[in-house]
Amino acid sequence: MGQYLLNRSLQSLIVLFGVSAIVFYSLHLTGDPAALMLPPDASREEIDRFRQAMGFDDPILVQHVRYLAGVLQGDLGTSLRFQRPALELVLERLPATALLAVVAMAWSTALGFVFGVVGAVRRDTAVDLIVRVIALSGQAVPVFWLGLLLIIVFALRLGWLPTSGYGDLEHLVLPAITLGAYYMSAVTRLVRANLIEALAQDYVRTARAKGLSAWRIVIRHGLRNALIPVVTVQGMYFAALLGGALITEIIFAWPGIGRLAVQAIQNRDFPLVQAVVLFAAVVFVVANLLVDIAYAILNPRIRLS
Amino acid sequence: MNTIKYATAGFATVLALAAGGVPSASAEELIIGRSVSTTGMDPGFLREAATLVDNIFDTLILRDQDMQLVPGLAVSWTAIDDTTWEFELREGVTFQNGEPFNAEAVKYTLDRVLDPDANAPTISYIRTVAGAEVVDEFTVRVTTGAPDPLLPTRMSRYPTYIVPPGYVEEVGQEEFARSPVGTGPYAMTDFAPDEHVVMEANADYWRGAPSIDTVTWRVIPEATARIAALLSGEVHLVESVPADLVDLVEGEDGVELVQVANGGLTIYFGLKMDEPPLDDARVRRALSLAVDRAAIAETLLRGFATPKGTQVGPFDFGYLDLAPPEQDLEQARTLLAEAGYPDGFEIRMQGTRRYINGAEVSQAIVQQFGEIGVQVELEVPEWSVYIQQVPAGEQAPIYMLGWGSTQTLDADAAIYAIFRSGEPYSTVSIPEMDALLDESRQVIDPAAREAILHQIQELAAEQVPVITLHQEDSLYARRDNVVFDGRADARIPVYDITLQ
Amino acid sequence: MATARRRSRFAGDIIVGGGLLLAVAAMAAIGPSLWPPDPIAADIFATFKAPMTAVGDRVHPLGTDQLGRDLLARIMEGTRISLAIVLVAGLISAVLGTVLGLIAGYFGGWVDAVIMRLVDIQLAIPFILLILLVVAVVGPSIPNLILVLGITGWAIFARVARARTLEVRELEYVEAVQVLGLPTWSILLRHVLPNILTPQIVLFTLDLPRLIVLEASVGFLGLGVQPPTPTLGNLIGEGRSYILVADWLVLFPGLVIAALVIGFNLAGDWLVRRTHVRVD
Repeated sequence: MGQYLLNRSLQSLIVLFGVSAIVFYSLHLTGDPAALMLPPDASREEIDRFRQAMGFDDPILVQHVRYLAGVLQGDLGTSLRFQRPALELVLERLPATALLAVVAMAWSTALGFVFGVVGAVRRDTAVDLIVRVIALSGQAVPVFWLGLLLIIVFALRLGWLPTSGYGDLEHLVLPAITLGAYYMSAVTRLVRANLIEALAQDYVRTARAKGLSAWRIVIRHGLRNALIPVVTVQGMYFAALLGGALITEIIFAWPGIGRLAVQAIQNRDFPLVQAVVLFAAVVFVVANLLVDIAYAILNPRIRLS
Repeated sequence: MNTIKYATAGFATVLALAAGGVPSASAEELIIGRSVSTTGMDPGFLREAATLVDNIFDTLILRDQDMQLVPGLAVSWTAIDDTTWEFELREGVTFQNGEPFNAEAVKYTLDRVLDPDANAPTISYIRTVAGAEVVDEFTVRVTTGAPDPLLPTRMSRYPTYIVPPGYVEEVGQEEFARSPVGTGPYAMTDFAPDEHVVMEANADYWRGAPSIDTVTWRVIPEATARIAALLSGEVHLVESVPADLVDLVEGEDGVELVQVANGGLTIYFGLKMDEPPLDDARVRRALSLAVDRAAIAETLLRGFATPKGTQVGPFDFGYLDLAPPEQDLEQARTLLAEAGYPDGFEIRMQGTRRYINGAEVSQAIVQQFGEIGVQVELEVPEWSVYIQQVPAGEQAPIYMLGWGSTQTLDADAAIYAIFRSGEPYSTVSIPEMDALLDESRQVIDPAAREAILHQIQELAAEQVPVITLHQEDSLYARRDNVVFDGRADARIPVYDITLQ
Repeated sequence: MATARRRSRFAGDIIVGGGLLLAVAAMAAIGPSLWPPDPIAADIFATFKAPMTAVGDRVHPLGTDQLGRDLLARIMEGTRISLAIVLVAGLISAVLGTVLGLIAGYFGGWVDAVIMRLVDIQLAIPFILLILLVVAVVGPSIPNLILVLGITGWAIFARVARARTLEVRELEYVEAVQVLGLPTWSILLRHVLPNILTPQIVLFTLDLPRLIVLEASVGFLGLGVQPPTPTLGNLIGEGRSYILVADWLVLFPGLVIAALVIGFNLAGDWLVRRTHVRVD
């Protein structure tokens, strides 16, 4: 176990280095943001002076080494736009995004389970088909389409909920529905497939032969087996949501990491872009590591190797 | 001279209920929906529009509703020679933290931005200033490196918002940007990035206490959501209303459109004059004549833009009222043939979604160029990439930009940076034009300067260094109890807003 | 991991899914030859006409857009282009991922380690951020968009291909041909690849809906194919600005996207059942 953890941690470090290098070079090899940071009437000399002060005229390798040295000391650089430490800005937005992601995943997982179980138990029937089409519609409408539709219907026409913003519970409802819809489809599909698989196992057939009702079999034997792959994927989804909820956050004016990322990219705020991507990657890597360990504990048949 | 009359309807405190019973503003609170986030509120180191800091700070000179320069923290100012201006300061003014306002504060404010090591992003606005000198507690002298006719104007806009030296030194620049303190009508009390900024009225404000007690600035980037928030009564005033959603605002009870004609940017297509075929003035004129400005403004921009014959805005000092060229395909074809392109040519063009329906306007113009045989390959790049290509000279030969002069309301801001050869955003190279532009920056006498500025615009109309299209209106929408007419300089001074 | 399952005669999903796909494909393939209006040419005096409005002697069954173009013609053309984009992008993902997964699984060792770290790196960057970053940098065009979408999907293919290859490598006959001394490429191509192909094809079917939705997201962010060329993503992305005044601009392209996503998913489900593969 210790050896395994060491290996995995080493691998994770390599991955993180790779991620940061890719982002660093794709940003820096395409020009610097000096002109973007200054007012439009800035002269060429003023732009050059600013560029020099920010260190953008050093060779790119020097800049990369300087960046890595900073990262090793926990310094992800200072945002050009905010003039504040980039990591601090990311962490400041974390609670809003995490709240949204957790609530979105909670309802989508719950509903996905229900749909998935119904689909699996009544598989290959019209009921199964209808349930799947309903679940799939969560994936079939683009996020912004769904978001705007919800705003128009529930906030503007019916006046039940606020149109956008962050704060009370009522602000959370529409964005959470919007963000979770896609994952609801995914969970439905996953639960259905795994449950069908589990129900085809020999011991389940035996149970059925003994006369246990279909629902009891599903609950007793099927769900536990279907749970593990769902948990595995949830870890990855959660990580993806932290950086990937940007469209939902834009539509609902939600002050999260995704919106920070879009603004950072639009402003070519290099240190901030790097910090956001690196943060998302760290969450992803750690989530995967935890899932793998949990998996090994849940399922002793799998040896860590 | 030193008393300014400001109409403040501080007595109107009646609760107004909007139609349909939606929650509306009380007399005490105003919620404003904006399209862009605030990243910091240090006026000297601002990297965005000054809309919020406008309400927290004051300048030595203010601009009133009619865009005239009037006394602010300075009660009077005079040019004592070509390069020295003396400001007599208002006495008894304090910052929101109790710190006194005086000549030291003015000097500190300017020095902080001018310090070459500080790399202030706003330095270009006051680059002509050489330094400030304290004469006595309430007298300060500002010197310029060369004669600068625009100095009073420069003293009316950020980065010359006066900051409290003691406080800035105490908390540091980073903290100051997050919790700013000024002499202005509102004091910031809560800043949640990407979410809102809350300001409370400054009861001791030197012009009298504001009538609105609390202002909340909310960020709602998606236009549809922003308008929806206004319609549902969650916010009381929004900026950046898309022209296409105007019908919706006008059709709804309880909300009103606020239109500031010519309050926005003047949109144009820049032309790379250093390479054929755009080095030929006949070709440039032909392209300009191919454009149907009136149809574009009327249909695609729904009338919320004015076709223009000059880059200078009608509120600007030095404006020359030149009629926008009418579409004339016949003459355009003739000009092309004279220039040696009877069958037209192929060329690349870049548009941008940055401006009102920018992508649509570009597509319409591509089609109009097609009618005189000019085949255009259009690209609509991402703004952040595009705005970096332009000053680097990597843009397409024909490229869309918008330029404004709301910062200074002077023709100089509208034309110098895009007409003077060698400037980052200019692809123009006309020696006669350069000479006139240089001269315009040295002449102090207003009448003489105005004549030069007029000459520049006439030359531009003849040489077509850029294809000027139209000037955008700025559009706001408000609940009908909010009294706000918009301003030509794009500010939202809450102090002047009242609620009925 | 093929598992024995009872054969089902149920064909509801392929009937509905296949039907949706066929309908959309037919519209994209033969629609433009039946419906003459130009999807590109603007008529700025006929903007935002509601569905079934006539302009001159031309009726616009689905209305016109912000530049007065016929929406039906644009949807037909846009569907064509979008389908081409996601099919090519999906193929790039599938081929790249399968080849790398095959190599990683067959050779193992450091080759495997390098490729799997690349997979991890790819998966660790939220792909919408990656697209935003890359398109912003290389500029928006059809080839660039295809490439970027293709790059976001290969990692899953590589993982599945690798896992299958590991199993196949242990099969007796593969060991036998190894002993026979056949060249490695020949073993990979003739004996391993056929064995891992089925799950990759199924995976491909299920990856297409993801790409369709992703293309729409790119359209929302304004980073898609250049105007005036229509794609489903551009249509709905640009149309969303007018949702309050001209909802048909998002409704109709949205329906086509939904039909494609549901169609591909149901067809994929049917394939899964027919081929007995697991792809999660």
